[in-house]
Amino acid sequence: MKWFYGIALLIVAVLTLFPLILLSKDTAERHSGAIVYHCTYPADVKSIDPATCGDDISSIIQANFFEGLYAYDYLKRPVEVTPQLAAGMPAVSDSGLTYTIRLKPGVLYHRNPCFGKDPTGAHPWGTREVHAADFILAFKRIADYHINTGLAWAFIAGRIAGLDDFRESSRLYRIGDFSRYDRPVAGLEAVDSLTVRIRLGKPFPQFIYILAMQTCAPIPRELIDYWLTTENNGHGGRRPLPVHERNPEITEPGEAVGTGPYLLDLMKRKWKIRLVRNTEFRPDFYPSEGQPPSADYPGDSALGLLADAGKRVPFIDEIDYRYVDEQYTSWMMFLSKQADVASIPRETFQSVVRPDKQLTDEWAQRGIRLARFTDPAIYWIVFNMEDSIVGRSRELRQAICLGYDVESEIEVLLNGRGRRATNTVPTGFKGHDEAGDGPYCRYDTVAAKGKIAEAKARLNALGLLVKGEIPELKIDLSDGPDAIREAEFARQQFGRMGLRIKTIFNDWPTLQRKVNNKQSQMYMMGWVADYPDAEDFLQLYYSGNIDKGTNNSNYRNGAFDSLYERIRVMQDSPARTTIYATMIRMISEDCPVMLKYEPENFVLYHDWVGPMKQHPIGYGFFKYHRIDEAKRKAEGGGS
Amino acid sequence: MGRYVIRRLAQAVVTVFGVMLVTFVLFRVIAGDVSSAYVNMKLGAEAKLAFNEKHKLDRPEILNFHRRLVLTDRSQGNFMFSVADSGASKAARALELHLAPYQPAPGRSSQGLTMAGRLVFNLSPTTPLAKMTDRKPLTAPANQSALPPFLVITLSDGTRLAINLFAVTTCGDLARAINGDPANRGRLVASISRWTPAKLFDSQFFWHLYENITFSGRSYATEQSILQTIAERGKFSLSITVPAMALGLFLAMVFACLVAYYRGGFIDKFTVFVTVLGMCIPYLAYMLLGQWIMFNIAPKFAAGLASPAAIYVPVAIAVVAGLGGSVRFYRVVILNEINKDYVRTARAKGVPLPAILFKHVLKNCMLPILTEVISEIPFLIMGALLLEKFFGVPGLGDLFLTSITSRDVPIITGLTYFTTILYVVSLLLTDILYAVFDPRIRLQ
Repeated sequence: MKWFYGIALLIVAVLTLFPLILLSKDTAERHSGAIVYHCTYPADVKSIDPATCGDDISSIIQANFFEGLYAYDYLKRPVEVTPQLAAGMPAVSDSGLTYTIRLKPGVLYHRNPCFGKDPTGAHPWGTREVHAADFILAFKRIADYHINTGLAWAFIAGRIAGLDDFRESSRLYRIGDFSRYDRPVAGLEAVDSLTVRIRLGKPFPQFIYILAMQTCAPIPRELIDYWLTTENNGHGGRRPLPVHERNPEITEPGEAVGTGPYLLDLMKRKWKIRLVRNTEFRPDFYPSEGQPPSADYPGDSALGLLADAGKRVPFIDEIDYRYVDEQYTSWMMFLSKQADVASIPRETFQSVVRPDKQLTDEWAQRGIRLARFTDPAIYWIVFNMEDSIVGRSRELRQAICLGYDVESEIEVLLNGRGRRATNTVPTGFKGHDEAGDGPYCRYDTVAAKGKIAEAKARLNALGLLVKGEIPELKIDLSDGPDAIREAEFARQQFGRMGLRIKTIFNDWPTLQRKVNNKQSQMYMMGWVADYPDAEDFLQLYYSGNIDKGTNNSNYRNGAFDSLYERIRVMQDSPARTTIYATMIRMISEDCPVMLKYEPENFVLYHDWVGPMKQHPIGYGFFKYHRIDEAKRKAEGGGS
Repeated sequence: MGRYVIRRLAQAVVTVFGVMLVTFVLFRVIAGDVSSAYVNMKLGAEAKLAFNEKHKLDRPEILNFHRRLVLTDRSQGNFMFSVADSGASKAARALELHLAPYQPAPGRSSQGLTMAGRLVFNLSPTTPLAKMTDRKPLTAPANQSALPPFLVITLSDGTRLAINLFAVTTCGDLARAINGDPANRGRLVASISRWTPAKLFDSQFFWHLYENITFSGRSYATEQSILQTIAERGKFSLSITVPAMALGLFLAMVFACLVAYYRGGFIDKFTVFVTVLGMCIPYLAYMLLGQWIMFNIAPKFAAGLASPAAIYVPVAIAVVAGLGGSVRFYRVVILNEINKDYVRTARAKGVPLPAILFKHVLKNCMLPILTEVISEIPFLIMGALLLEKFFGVPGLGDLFLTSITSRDVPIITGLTYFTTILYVVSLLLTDILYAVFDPRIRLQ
């Protein structure tokens, strides 16, 4: 009998201890003892291919190794575009149709097997300089029918001459047939190896902001020929991959060949990402000019943000990202000094941040600092203008705007992390101040009641009242963690106005489907600015965009449309800002959306992290950050 | 025995087929339009069509009785062509012509390029054109100077065929118009696709079946194949559940034996109290408490897998949380055995209880316990969802949960299918084990 129990014990021991061997390879940590920045991210990285980059997390990660022609200046506010791989701002022809861009010479790609072995033998792999043709290849990939391009294509569709035809003809090719990238595009020309000329179909003043997205990062043709056309043959070499098995998108870390300050060393989906410094990064320097002091800002100099002016970047050797889904866990990691930065969970917010939006003393004493920034976004309730009740009755929409206590919502639901939006364009954008506050963007219960009476009268005339009362309204929400509280608050607010309302929870795909099919009467949504131009918010009300899918309120206004068609080809000028103001006032009057708030974000960081400035739109600023490793060790932080 | 096994395997096939049918109905039909989760709405309807086409979501659901209007290039693939509309109309999009894979074959006679229209039920030459264009009939405008909807097919040598869609009313008319156009010269042939019985199975359900059986499904979100996903993430899930099960079983048996030995005494009563208490505390409380303790003692092990040893934190929590229920269960099993006549006889004869326990009782208990353990094996691979989420272990359970909310259908169906196969096999295995080890049982 003894042998039976002996074997049983042995089996239990093996089954219990096998993870130590099975997982040892995956968890092997490799810190070179260098300066490391530890950070967590709450949602998975969806893509490491610039052409398919469409969400925030992917952009944050990609901007470290892929760089575009232009970028945003780190410190200047209002935000400004600055050349990155381009040598200077583009030379735009008088018609506004041709952009000629010279590139910086001598910018090298990351060393990669796709360039072959290094001829000097100093490094294992070779590299080469960035050429104009690489940018053209990048645009072609964005236009490629077979690549799930996401946002990048939405911005240049119908803009560059010949690119839409390219997309149509790329349909004719099989997914794995990359000879389609040899087809010429009329509007994209490599004048010489360092000059790109782009020709637009019609003027597009916001094009410079599109060029500032890293979705247009240059792609070397060798990447496609090596990584996407061949596969590992198991003996350290490559063998050709049959056409029907090829994938046109970049999916593995080794394939992400960029020019950025960091290399994608390790990427395990939904687990961890590691970026290491590119030792051959081109000379790039910390900005020497910042934002001057003003009424509500002490100035970059006073905050220590210019201490590194003129020094060569990047400063940090390694960036260690960990995927942490639960906010509680990432908060605990911050408190136990394993993470350098964290956002504040709602439960602890009151004890961490004072009502005047500064850090409480006990937290400041722990060596923790607070950074505050406003997102260029507005959250609102969208009215379906094609709905018979809310669409037909302007008074009802105005009444809802007057009767909804937005300030209270910001206090109660957001801990004060936001400010009331006063017109349909965020603060700081040109046109916002000129247009002034919307007449209905305030909390006024008396006026609201008056408007409801008017609304009832009009709906009565249209025969839409049910038993003499406004019929029950329906509002759709997406099911986030706060959805229940939002719904409760909305019900309370509408109830106070005397309106009956039903709240419907949907998961994200269902909500999108309802919105696209115009089945939703009202829904809660928001819009985050893609670029720092009010046109990004005004295009949401252009009737031509209803079919395109960005105008989801189905708002139609002929006067607005003709103004929009004028400004969409105008460069920035006082005249354009005046027209912006007129258009914004039209929206403020018609209320196709009920404006809620512009979100404010609070981020905590330990004092061994150098001063940081959050950028509202751009990405790729990790190269400017500093970590004091000695200080971290002294305070007992994780290595 | 052999016939029994074969019959059970046949039953297993039917079971698995039934499971796949049910998961198909649940996730494809009820989940609805998946493309909106993966295709940015700013890209418009075309991108949605492309997505649906790529993932075969444009096919009919169960069986395919549909046909298409097909344009075949008879010029040996020498001319590439494209289809466009006259700008004012959206005729080309209305017909939803989309392309089969094009094979450029220099120097080799290819099969020619085929462009296929959308699938229409019972398409025949007399089918009205309105049926193909999304059921909105193309009515000629009252104002004759408005551009009529032309369907323009351009061959790469510049030849243009312009078909006036107001002049054709049925599908057959359209085919004749294309074939008879003088500019065509026999290079492009329009016809209705031939319908063969094999076509019947070109439907979403049978593709779903095929993808599952061959494990060739790819995630919508990451394009990673299901096999690779299981291989990569399964080992993390197993690293939590297998040690948890092994250790939990071992400890539970030890405690249960102790309790059976001291039956009726203080230890027995105390253990019963503690186990019931353990069962009442919610799982989430164990996790939060465990994580909080770890953050205060050894923060490096509290979340994320810093080193392989960190996996034992969630394992410990799983063991402790499950111990209450297991001990109670095994205690009952062992006590049942101890109350049997042969044990009473042995005790009466003076054999000490530990000897009886280890020599006889445990052996007889082992079979039901073992078969229960084997039937739990299929669910090990899915891991402990909550533990993986909280401790940052990149396992399959967490992936399964997020796939459901993000509608990543291939992952959901692939994992369900995998679990079904394991489950069916393990059921068969337990029955065989029973027959082998228990001479009283006869398999028929």
